[in-house]
Amino acid sequence: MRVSTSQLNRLALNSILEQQAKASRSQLEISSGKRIVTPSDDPVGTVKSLSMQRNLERLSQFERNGSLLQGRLAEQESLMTNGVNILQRVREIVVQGANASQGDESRQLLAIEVRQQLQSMLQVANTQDSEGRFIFSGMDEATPTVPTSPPFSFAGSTDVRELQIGPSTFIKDTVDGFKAFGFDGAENVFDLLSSVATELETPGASTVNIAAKLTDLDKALGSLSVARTEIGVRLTQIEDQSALSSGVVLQLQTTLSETQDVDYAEAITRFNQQLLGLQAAQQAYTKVQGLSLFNYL
Amino acid sequence: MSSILNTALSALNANQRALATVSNNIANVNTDGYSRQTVDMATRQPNQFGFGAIGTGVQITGIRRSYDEFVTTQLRNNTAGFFDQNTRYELGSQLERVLVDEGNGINSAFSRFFNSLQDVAASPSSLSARQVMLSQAQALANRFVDANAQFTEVGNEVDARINVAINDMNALVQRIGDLNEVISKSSGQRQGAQPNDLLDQRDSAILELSKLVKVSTTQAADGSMSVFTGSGQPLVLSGQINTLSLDNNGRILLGGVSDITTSLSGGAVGGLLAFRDGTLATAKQELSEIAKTIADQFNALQVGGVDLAGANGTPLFGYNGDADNSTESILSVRINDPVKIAASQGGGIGDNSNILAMAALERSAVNINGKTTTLGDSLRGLVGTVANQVREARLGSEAQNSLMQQSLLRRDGISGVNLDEEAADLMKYQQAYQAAAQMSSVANSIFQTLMDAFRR
Repeated sequence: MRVSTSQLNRLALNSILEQQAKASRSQLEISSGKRIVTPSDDPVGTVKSLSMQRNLERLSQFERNGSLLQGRLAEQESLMTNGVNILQRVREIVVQGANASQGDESRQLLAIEVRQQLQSMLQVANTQDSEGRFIFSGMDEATPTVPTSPPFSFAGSTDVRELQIGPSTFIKDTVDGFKAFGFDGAENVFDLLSSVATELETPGASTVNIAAKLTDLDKALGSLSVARTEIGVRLTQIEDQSALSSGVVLQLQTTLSETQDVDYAEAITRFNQQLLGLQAAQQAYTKVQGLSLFNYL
Repeated sequence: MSSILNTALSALNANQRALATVSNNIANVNTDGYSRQTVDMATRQPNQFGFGAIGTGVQITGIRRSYDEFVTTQLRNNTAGFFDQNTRYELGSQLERVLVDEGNGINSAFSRFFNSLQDVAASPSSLSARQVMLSQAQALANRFVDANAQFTEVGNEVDARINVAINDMNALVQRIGDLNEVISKSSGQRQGAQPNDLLDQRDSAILELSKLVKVSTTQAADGSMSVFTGSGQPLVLSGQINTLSLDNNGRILLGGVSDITTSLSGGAVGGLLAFRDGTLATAKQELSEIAKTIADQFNALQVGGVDLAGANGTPLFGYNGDADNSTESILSVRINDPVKIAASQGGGIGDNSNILAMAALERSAVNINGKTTTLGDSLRGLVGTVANQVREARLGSEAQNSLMQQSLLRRDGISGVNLDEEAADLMKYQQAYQAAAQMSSVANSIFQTLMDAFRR
């Protein structure tokens, strides 16, 4: 085959340019740390990466929701514990008051303490969060849950909002104040405490009537404990979800890195080979250039 | 004796011209499109005698250029193919850069916006969470507006390039027409003698034209060449030419009347048109369709919900062409009071059910351009579609480039000058010239010998 001078030049130059382009691509990958420098390097990988990135950001938002919820529920849990403590103290008072040795005067004193405990219980029910929202009023969070003087009725909403803490996991934000404070039963906890005080204040109160309040108190204690247990269950759910999510996050990060990040060992080896190829092409070029019959004329 | 001298003279002449041709070849070793020329020699008419014929020397019958029609056509086609794909690739890369997401693109803004919905869901009555959501909505709308503006900018560049390309095409068409006239005249004047350098120039002009558009050619008996676009629209018919122009709608007209936009393919113009009317138009349309869908989906929930003040919600997003024609831009935020985010479905200020429904929009099925997808997938899909087309164009461009290089090498192999070959020819013709000169000196000395014989 006939070869022309320009053909020789072009061949040699093309191979230099080609090697340079390859080496420059490798250099770009090494310096950016990315296997996918522009989307067209790997369209499928790009879309996968974008999807994984969004998933990671979404999961971190759920994680944020979860820890926010943890804080809120922990606060409610301790409030429920306060409520339980209040009722237990009242129970002690009732046991004391039901003792036949107590006179009207000492029962009067006990009644005063019960009324104080009622105030505390009202404070628990009307607790506001840092932004002034009434925790137990459900979705009606601007309204105080219970009026501070009788008649004690539930002024909040029984609708409780949910937060998303996982791709398909929604957890209730607050406990239902209506149930926790016994508004769903015959007598709510505030009316109960009020009636306990009234009973103790009644001159010559019958010890049987006083003792009868113990059953109602146990029921009220039961409602609060159930609410507290419910919170505990939710906290466990959040922890489970968090553990699950961190597993998924790790998996996603690994896959994401495999998809878009450069394998340095491979890239550097490739780069070195390409530089070698470039050198060879350059040497070939100068060798070919030196050859000419005119040198011998 | 005079026949000896004449024969020697013919050899001196012929070899001198051959040397001139060698010299011309050497001079044009680096001239693009130059075809190596060779001298054809033949014996002259011999003198007939009773005993036989004696040759009378050498004559030049022609100067040929080394040329292969097939390779030339192949080079044109591969050149048109390369410039087509490469133009698509260059422009596609620009489009792709608009969509690259490094924490500040549409996809990132989309992600932050949807995360901000979750913060409102966690504290529906918090004005600061609502304000953040509005800011993120605005940021998302801004990314759409930016991307759309950059698409338009790329489109403007395409139009400008088409304009320049059409001017270049017209100039080349004019040049080919002019060369046709000269070539047909010169062929007419000097029967059969090829105007090699003009033919090379015309081939170069057609090759240049092939960089802009794919053409086919037919050669007439008078040596003139007609040039047609890929689908047979005549650009040059012998000496007659048709100029191209661009109308206000971006269509390309032949001779100022017929629209040949769709029949132009290959070359930079083919690539520009395919990109403008394909990749770019599709991407732009898809972007605005996604914007419209986002707006429609959110607005439906907003309007069905209740805001923080207890009032019915109003549309959150506007888009170009929405029901009340509220906006010119591809996507805009129509609420600036955070109270007006309809997070609730009427359950109170702590109700987040409507905002949860909005957050769920990210993954709910929507119909965009007849395809069932999700909002998130459609945005990522847009990046994927453009990236895919850029990749195809790049692979196509690489393939066409290697085909073009191969054709170039084949053409060079046939038409290119090889300096070693010329050096060999140089020696060959130089030796022949020296021998012929020697011959004339022999003729001279024979003549002298004769003269001396008479003088005595």
